[in-house]
Amino acid sequence: MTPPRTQTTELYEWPPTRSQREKWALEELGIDYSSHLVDLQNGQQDSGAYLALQPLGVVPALKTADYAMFESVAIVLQLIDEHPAKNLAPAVGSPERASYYQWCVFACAELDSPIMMFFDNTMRPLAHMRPAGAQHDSALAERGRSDFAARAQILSAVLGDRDYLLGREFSGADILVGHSCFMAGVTGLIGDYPVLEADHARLQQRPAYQRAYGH
Amino acid sequence: MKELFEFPPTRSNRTKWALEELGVDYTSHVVSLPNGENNAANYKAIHPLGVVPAYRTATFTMFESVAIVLQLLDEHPAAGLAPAIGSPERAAYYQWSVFSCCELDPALFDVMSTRCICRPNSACPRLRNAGGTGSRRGVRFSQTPLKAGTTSWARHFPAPTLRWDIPVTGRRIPD
Repeated sequence: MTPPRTQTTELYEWPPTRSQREKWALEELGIDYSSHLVDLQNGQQDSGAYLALQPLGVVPALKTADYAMFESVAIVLQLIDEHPAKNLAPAVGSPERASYYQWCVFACAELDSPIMMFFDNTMRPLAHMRPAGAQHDSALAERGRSDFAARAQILSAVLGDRDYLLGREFSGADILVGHSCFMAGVTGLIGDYPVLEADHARLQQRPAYQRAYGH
Repeated sequence: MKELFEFPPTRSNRTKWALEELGVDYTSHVVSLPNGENNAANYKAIHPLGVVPAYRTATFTMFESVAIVLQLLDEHPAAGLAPAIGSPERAAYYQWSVFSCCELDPALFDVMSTRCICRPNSACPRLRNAGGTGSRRGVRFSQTPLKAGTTSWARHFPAPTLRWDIPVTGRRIPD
């Protein structure tokens, strides 16, 4: 008799934050996982149990039978490496892998910060500002918009003549940058970049995207 | 031919350190940030944001300091500086590699931009915001004003914009 299958991949998430990257990757890879909602509005991320898993108290975190980890970009890199048959990453050591790493890191190191700076200073409810009592700062909002613009122009140039960041094949880089573009859509920043809007509309057609984002 | 585009001691040092650890034979191009060489068209063709580092080989050109280090270590598996692909140790390796650029760097740059460009007093909203972000991101730093101090970095920048100690590491670079 086959023992019952144990579900060992656990995602700690709070849609539609950056934990969507993991959810999207898990769906693309066809991994069976269980979801734990970490309610950011009710402070569950600051509970002792969650801080033991993610010491900064942010989402996402991922737990498997073998390890626990955090950092949305790192988790996607790891999940994709564990499933080479899905072909979501170029061969290790290849020139294409250099591009893959570059765009994966670009998502969190270049795109997230200006988008969040704009969001925090235009759309974040004042009750949720950190530290408590902070106000929206129009100068910082403008800096976020301007920093995003420089990066969006780079992406637009790359995506202008190809389907995906690495060329003809969809990869984990499209998931990671794709979620940044989702955030840019929520804030309205993406509106000035038709290439990025069109690219994102194409990504939204993917069944895994729709399962992850609940479309 | 491997070419590193750098300006010590910025984040390009990550890449340089990795190249040295791996014993890679490379050529260094110093991109002078104070002289604006990073904004020259020939450099922007290599790195469109006009920052360092960038790295060029016969087969590819890339940027993002963390990405370059990941790629270099993959190209030299015999050096044993990265765990095996797909192993649990690789998860921790990716986590801390990404942590450096996505959690530590922004917090440190918050401190640098607010303390070095804004006056470090409590009336500065940028400093207050940076304090929230910085501590949230896992870097603790004192809210006490900086002592006036100059580092070797100051030589590269107009004097009024950079007079500082390095509060996070506590290490002061000799003048």
